[in-house]
Amino acid sequence: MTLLEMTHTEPTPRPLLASKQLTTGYGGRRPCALLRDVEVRLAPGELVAVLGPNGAGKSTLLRTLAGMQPALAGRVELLGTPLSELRPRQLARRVGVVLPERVAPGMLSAYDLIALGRTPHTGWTGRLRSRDETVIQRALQVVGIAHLADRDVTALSDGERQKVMIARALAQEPKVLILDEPTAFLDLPGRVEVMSLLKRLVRQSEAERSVLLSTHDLDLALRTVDRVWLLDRRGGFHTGSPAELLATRAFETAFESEELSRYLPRGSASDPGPRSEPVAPS
Amino acid sequence: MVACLLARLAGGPVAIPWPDVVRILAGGEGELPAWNGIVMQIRLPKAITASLAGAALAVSGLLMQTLFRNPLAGPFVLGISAGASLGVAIVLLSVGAGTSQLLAGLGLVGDFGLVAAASLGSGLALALVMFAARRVSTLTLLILGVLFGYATSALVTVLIHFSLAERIQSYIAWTFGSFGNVTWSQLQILAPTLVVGLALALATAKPLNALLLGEGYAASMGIEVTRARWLILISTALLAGGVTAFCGPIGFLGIAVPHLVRGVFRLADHRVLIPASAVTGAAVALISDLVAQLPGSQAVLPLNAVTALIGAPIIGAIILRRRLDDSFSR
Repeated sequence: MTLLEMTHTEPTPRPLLASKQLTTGYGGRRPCALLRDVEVRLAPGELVAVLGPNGAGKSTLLRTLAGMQPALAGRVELLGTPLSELRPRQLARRVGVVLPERVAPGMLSAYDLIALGRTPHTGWTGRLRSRDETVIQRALQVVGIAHLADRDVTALSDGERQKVMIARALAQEPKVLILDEPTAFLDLPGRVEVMSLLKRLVRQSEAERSVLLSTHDLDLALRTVDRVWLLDRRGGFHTGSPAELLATRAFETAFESEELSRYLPRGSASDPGPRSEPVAPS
Repeated sequence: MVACLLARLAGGPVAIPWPDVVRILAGGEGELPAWNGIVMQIRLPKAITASLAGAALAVSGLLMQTLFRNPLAGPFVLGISAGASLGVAIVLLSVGAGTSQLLAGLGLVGDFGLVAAASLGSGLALALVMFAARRVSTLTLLILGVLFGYATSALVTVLIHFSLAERIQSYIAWTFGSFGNVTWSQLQILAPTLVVGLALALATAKPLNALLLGEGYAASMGIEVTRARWLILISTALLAGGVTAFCGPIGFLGIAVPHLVRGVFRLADHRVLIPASAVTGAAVALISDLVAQLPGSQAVLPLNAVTALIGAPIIGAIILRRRLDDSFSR
């Protein structure tokens, strides 16, 4: 079973991304903390979904981990280095981000848009060298959109455009890929395609890469990801494999809905992946 | 562009044949001695001013459209021309004895007074914008710029209300815009200002390309957004501020030319768009100025009327062809 071989065994060597007593939320005159003192670990080769009801702070957590928003307290470390010590360019070579907003500037081909992902690697003029071209081509191949390269991004479907945005993030050659609601706007086949693409990205990468995403597609996420970070509205944080969290009825509690049970996949029976690793809930 | 330049040097109230223009430019003599003076002292500085100003306005308009991701943004969205108008209005409409001299001495001392007033006014507007730029979001900045424009035009209205008819006339003449009041010595200030502004604009081409995806994505791709925004604003300040100080508030060109260039080149790369906008802007400015002279007649149209007459159909055509949606849908 190649899948088993490729799944890491515990204890994980060194997390790509980890937080130390991290408090996320919004600062300013009236600071508002959403999560307090959480310790998250994103292991190499891991696909993790951040799940939880609206307003639980999924986006805020992702943005804080991506270095796009300061932590209220504590810190985030990327390969052992605090995010605050990385220059924007260094950070962008390690973390690629796909945001929830719809972006489609005109007069830009899919190739040109993906080429923007080379921004942290190119010089001040932004000129592409042959290595940059190679990386862009590979990103097109991996995501499976080579045939769309010359199309104007405004002429693409939402699903195709989302793949272009993912390829753009891959062109940054990141260790960690962070996607906030990558399946919003998409129809069901589109959502399934994006999720299986993300699965491929962690399984097939020679370089150890991890993917962290937030989504409202509970069912799809639970069938795909290795591990879940579950948030609730009271600042609670639980982590575990989908099977473990299903068994403890953690989703019903976090989403404050008993009705949810009927909709969720039933534990490990419908949960094909090997996820027997022991979990140390933080 | 070269053809436009030559056409501008040849055309005017006194038509001078092209071969003579070339000969005079090369240091020789025209057929009539008076032509030398016309070409070297009047038309050449005016043509250089028009080229530089057109390039400056087009490039600053492009910068603002990309920074604000708004197709209707132009060089003056930040209140630069509003600030300059207020400065000039205060000088022209409220100063007592000096006003008549200002009127008489266009091109001399009075003109320098106008330049100083316009520079001070636009400088003040920019200082406010720069002060705000670090603290507020880009969209808020745009709204503040528009509000500042309304506030200054209200002040100008008050000044006009209490002013004499002849002074109002001279203020209105300033708002028409003109490339003709810039002398060789003034050009020594204006030209370097605009060249530095254009160079800065070129230096921000890479951040501008990343900003096409919005500030969030630009930041996630390693662009220092605050610093990039600062550079873009300084470049716009030099370009739009410089032009407004010396030529008055010249409208439309800065909004229309970037759309024209995007439409022609069908691409979004600022490493191409910036030089292309500069050249196209210069050509459009020269043509506008030539048209304003109404070749073959002694009458002169207000420059702003001409740029708007050329600019409005362009913008109208773009809107009808839905290119705005293409360029700026999110």
